[in-house]
Amino acid sequence: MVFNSLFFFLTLIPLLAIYFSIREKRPKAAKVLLLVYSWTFYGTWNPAFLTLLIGSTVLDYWVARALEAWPSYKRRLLILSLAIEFGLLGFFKYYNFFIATTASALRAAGLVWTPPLLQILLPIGISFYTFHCVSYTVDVYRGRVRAERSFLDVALFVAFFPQLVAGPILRAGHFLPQLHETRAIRWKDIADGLMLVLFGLFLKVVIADNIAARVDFLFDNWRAIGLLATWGAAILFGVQIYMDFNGYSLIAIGLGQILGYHIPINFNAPYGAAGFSDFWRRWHISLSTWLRDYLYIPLGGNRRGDARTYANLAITMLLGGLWHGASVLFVIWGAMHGAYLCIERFVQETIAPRVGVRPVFTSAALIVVTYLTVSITWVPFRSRTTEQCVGMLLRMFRGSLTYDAALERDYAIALAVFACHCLSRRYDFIAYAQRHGAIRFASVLVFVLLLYFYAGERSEFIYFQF
Amino acid sequence: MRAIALAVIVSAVAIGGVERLYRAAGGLPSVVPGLTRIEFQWKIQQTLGRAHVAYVVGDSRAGWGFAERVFNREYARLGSAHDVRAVNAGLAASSITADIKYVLDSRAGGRPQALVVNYSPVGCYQFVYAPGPPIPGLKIQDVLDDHLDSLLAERLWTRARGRAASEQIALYRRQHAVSPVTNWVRRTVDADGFVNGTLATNTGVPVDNPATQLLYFTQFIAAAQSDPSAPRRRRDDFTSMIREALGAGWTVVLVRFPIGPRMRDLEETLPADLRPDAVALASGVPLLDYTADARTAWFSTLDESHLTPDAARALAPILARDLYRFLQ
Repeated sequence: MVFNSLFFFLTLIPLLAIYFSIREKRPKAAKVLLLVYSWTFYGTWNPAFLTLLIGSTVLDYWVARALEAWPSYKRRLLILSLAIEFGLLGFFKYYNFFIATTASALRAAGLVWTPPLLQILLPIGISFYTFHCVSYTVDVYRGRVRAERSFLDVALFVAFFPQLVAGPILRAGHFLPQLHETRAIRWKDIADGLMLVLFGLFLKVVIADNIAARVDFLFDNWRAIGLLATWGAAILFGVQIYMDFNGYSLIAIGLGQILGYHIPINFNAPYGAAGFSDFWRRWHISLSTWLRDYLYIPLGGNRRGDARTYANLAITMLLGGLWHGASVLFVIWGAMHGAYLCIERFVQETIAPRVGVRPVFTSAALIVVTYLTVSITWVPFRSRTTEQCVGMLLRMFRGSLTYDAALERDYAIALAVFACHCLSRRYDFIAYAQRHGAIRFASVLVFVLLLYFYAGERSEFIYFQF
Repeated sequence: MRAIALAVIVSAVAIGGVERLYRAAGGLPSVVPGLTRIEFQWKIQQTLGRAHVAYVVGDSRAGWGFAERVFNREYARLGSAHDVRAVNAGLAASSITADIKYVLDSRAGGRPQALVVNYSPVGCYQFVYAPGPPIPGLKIQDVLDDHLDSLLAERLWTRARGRAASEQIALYRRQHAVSPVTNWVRRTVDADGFVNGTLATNTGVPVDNPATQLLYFTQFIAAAQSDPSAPRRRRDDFTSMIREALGAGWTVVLVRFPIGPRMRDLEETLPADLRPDAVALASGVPLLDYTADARTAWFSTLDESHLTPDAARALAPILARDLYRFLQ
């Protein structure tokens, strides 16, 4: 089930009514209700894959219990759990990609092999819930969280419907303790949650869905557009994917808040980032911190010398790219971000101390440079073929300077979003709206009216495909 | 919370005000007079697991006029060796060639099925609406949302139509009068498996449905008579698509649902090579023409072009019996 849906909100109303009526008197029943709804939410897409989700949950519940019961087998149990979780993810998401890539490599070496490609339907949200499960098992293994005795709590942690199919990726240490207590839900929590839901819907339905057609047009006609339009395509897609994904995340956080659970933020004005490491502290925060804690640091992080640090950065970002999908284009996207981070680190540690530039200038220039260079990476992310990716990247620097009046609107939208993100470095607009009744009133009024009159054509959230 | 509640109330009042203004300015709802793309794609998707399916494709004449449930009941009663299920895959204002292509593509690589193609000159030679590219991951929630959207479109005329509403209101303010417009304002989903629409004007004058249809077809046929090159290209596309289906092993039957007498006379004036018998011959498929069939002589139409619901229900058993020999 998706959030930008009338049907979803129709089902949500009775859920909330029952949930609030039983939550304080019968908290366990309220959790069962949430779990049943979450599984139904997932099952409406494809009931068969619900078994996969439940299977992953059962596996990690028992592995976590076994990790504490038989400490001498800890390592083997963890490996078993990771092998199954990543094995399933690998099969559903990467089987065809790796088989086809192997066949291409063999063909290049002169060996002809017809790969046994399979028609595999990707279970929605598998990348997200696999990461939930893995983080839980690894945290229990590391002794950071205790193995949960209640299967209900583990199942709800994995399947909690606001974040099930596209995050934010939750950590057991953050979410499980919330399931143990029945915190009172105040009207303010509901009001703040509603604000976030409305704001998220506004970002997705009014902005992302309305610019989707223009982005599709520019990318579909990439051969016919010039330098300015290619930059416009990349920047506008950056706006679309941010609005789409942040919209989803805000709805998830808002729904969590209404239900009495805290879900951490996933975006923090990323296009106002000063530098690439700053960008990754602001973009898809739950994924970047997951990759940091469960991949970059275990690889050695920055503790094993410069060369190893650069290698770890590159590996982390390559795998981060591959996490998004089985395509060489996502690998290119990850490689570009890995290269950016390595270059930034090199500049910060080697060149900047020698040159000694003024911090204010550095910061302002860095924000612009970061925005533009990050925009370049949206080309491989959005392209359908490698040819298109390379062609568009070349056009961004060598294309003709043809002008199209429609570009004014594209650049105006991008500039507005960029300005908002830059201002968000200093001002927290959401917190401001949550504190002041008049601002809240005006915001809700604008969101509701725009959602009613200017909803774009309904489309899936982009991150559902990952 | 008070601020939010107040904002929602003010928004509702504002929406109501705009809605009222839009209606006063001569605005009309915009409703799909038949299956929507999502419903069409969902229907086809639901048949993919079935072994024997007869897809009844066409434009709104098929969409409004084929009672699939009545057909299936009658077909089952005939005692078929195969459990054939017919599906109304008629899409209003669509290119029939595009509809056939969608159906063939969706079952590509699978067992060949049956196609019952309802001939309509505008569906074959003029309409360009198409089922569109398959929507990835189409699920029941999308269909339910689509139903809700259709229901709301009939009641909340300005929902998701902010630009249309403001333009209509601005036009009214400039002209101080309502510009006459005719539009589809309601659709009716029949339990027997067909969907039809209702035309209305914004001036309050009742729509003369037969005159509207006849005028549209007259203009189309006059254009085809003066320059038949474009319809002929479309006919070639249509026949080659049918031949492609035959080549893939599909059973294809061309049918022509009953139409009103004035419409029939009008269609007789089409260039000979664009008429249904010539198309059937060029495609190499049989033609079942119900416009000149004694069993359907009493059938009435809504507008000379589309069957009434009762006629649609009455046609289905006749079709089932006639198609029985082809679909075995």
